[in-house]
Amino acid sequence: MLQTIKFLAMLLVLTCGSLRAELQIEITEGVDKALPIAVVPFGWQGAGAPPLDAAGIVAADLARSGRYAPLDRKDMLQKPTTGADVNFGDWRRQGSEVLIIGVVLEPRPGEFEIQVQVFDVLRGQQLLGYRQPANATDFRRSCHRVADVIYEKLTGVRGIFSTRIAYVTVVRSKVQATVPGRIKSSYRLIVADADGENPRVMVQSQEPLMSPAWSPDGRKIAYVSFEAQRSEIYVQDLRSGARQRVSARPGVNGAPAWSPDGQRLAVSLSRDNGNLDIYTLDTRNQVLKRLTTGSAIDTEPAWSLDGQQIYFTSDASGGPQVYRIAADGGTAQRVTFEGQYNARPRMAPDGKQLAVVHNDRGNYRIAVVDLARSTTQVLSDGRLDESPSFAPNGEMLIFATRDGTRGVLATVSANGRIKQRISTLEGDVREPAWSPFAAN
Amino acid sequence: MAAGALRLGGGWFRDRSFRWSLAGHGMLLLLVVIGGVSIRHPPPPTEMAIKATVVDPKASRQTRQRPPRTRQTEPPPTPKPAREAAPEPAAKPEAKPEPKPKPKPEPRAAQRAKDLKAEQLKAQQDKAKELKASQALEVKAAAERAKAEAERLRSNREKAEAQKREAARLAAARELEQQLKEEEELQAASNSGALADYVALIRQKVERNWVRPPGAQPGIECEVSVTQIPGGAVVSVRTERCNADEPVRRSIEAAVLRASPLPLPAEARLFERNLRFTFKPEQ
Repeated sequence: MLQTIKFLAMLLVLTCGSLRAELQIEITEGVDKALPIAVVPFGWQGAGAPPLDAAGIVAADLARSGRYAPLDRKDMLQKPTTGADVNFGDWRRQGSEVLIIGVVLEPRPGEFEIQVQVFDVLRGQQLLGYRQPANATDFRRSCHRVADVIYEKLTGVRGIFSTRIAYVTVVRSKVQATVPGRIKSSYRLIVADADGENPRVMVQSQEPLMSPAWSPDGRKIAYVSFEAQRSEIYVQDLRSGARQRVSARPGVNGAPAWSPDGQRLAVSLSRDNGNLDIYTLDTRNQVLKRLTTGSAIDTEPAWSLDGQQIYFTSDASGGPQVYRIAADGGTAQRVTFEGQYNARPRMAPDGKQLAVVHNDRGNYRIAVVDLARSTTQVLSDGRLDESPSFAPNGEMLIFATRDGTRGVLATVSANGRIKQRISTLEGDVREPAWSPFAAN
Repeated sequence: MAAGALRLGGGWFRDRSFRWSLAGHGMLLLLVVIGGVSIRHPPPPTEMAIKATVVDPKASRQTRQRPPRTRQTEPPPTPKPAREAAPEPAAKPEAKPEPKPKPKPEPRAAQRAKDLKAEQLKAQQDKAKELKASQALEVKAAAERAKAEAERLRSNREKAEAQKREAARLAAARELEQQLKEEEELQAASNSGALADYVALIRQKVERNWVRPPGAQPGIECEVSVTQIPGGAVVSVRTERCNADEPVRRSIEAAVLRASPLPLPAEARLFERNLRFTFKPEQ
């Protein structure tokens, strides 16, 4: 009898076990590693040789994002250029999860079309088919656009490969003749592709150039030049090269920052009293509005996304800290509290974070301050890192760091996990500014 | 079913009184077997003793036939060897009676001279015959003895083997008991530890394979229905309820596919064909 009961109980347990429909598993974490992908050299249908290695540019862009790890070409078992030639099994075995193939056509001399197909290798599906027209002069940029489109398809985030960076370089050289021993410096304001390639000199001067700032439409750059032996603020059109001096007031004219509507500049002026304060300057009618007063040094303004607030650095509390003030004036409020030194605020594209230079136990590092939670996260690991600037998609920041005695540019992902150097640039590099998304 | 029954047995096995009763029954069984052997056995030795004096080739045939019988009854247990040793002394008497027939011809030879020679011849022939026979018998007896000895050794060996078998059987029983106990423990743990371990193994492997795209931020929640086959290979992944964008959905499905084959549970019974993942990133 007891046996029977036990047996039935056991049967019940077993039955319940098999009736359990499914196992519930909760996934709350993931990894931040680069996804293995393959970018096969694109086919070429045109006269002569293709202008550039388009697939190589796309692969390098995707690799630079830190999210993708392209397979080495010499490890590719096959190099298909059409979807029909793709053997997903081979790519799967090699571990590539995304396959990008393409072909470059030359329908007319000097006119090109880059055709790409993106495949999900695990499922053997096409994710994207895309055609990008190009010409001989903007072929590289067209490749970056292709990478942007692919990146957006894969991540859901707009790519930044076709954006640009502005920065200042200083090249020092000894003057041969007239004054022996004197060092001659050459300052250049340069605009390059986001990967550091294709640099173009916008302004060159023997006197310092400083603080480049992109207009919201990406067509103009405001900067400070000492070419007249004193600081002046200029706005220069990138296409035409035409420039306009917008502020040459007595004292310091510094740190221009564009309002989101592109109508005004926030600037830091000392004017007659020699103390730096924040002003707004309407570039169309030169109307100047003073926002801060008092004895503190107020500088390095940055606009909120809605244009209602201006963040700036002030030593009102002793050391430099970030404050906020209404763009039409009012009382400044302190924003940063963590640490003795938080300066040079730059707004993240989502408006929720500020990038700052933060003194982290004696080292000047790039940090992001979460405005809602008032937390500070240090992103960089240098000793003299400066001038952070967000990429327009908010995924990365560019900043200047030291490599020995030389200033170089580096990028860090907004979560601090992916760090890279832009090592192709020459000279002592400083003050990078990442462009907005291109309008053109 | 079988598992259930076994498990039941396991329960009883663990019961001390049952173990004792099992041991008791074992002993009884042993006694019965031994008893059966001892009842059947005694006759052979006496038979052998009698037949030995008759000196009949048949006897040797019979003795020859006997061993198989003993062999058949031998497998049972222990006391046999003592009784089987008996045939040995019985074999010796077989040889002794032989000399007796020899003296007989001699008195007859003295009485009749004529016949003497013939008689003697006959006797000699007989003697020779008998000698031969006795020699043959002696050989046979020796063979018999050797056989008996072999028998004894074999029985010893078999006894040892039987003991070994018994020990092995007990060990096996103990092992089975242990297995059943473990199984029951697993069963008991299936609602907590073992199952939780299984879930954790799967979770960890999928998390290791989830390369989160930018959109995978706190606030998204996606349910994925997954089917695996024994061995852990994922045969289907389907995103069901999900508030994330397409790249996130793809990354989630890819995480499961990449984690294939999924880890297997420590206890095969915990394997579950249908899994439901909830992707709910925290940060």
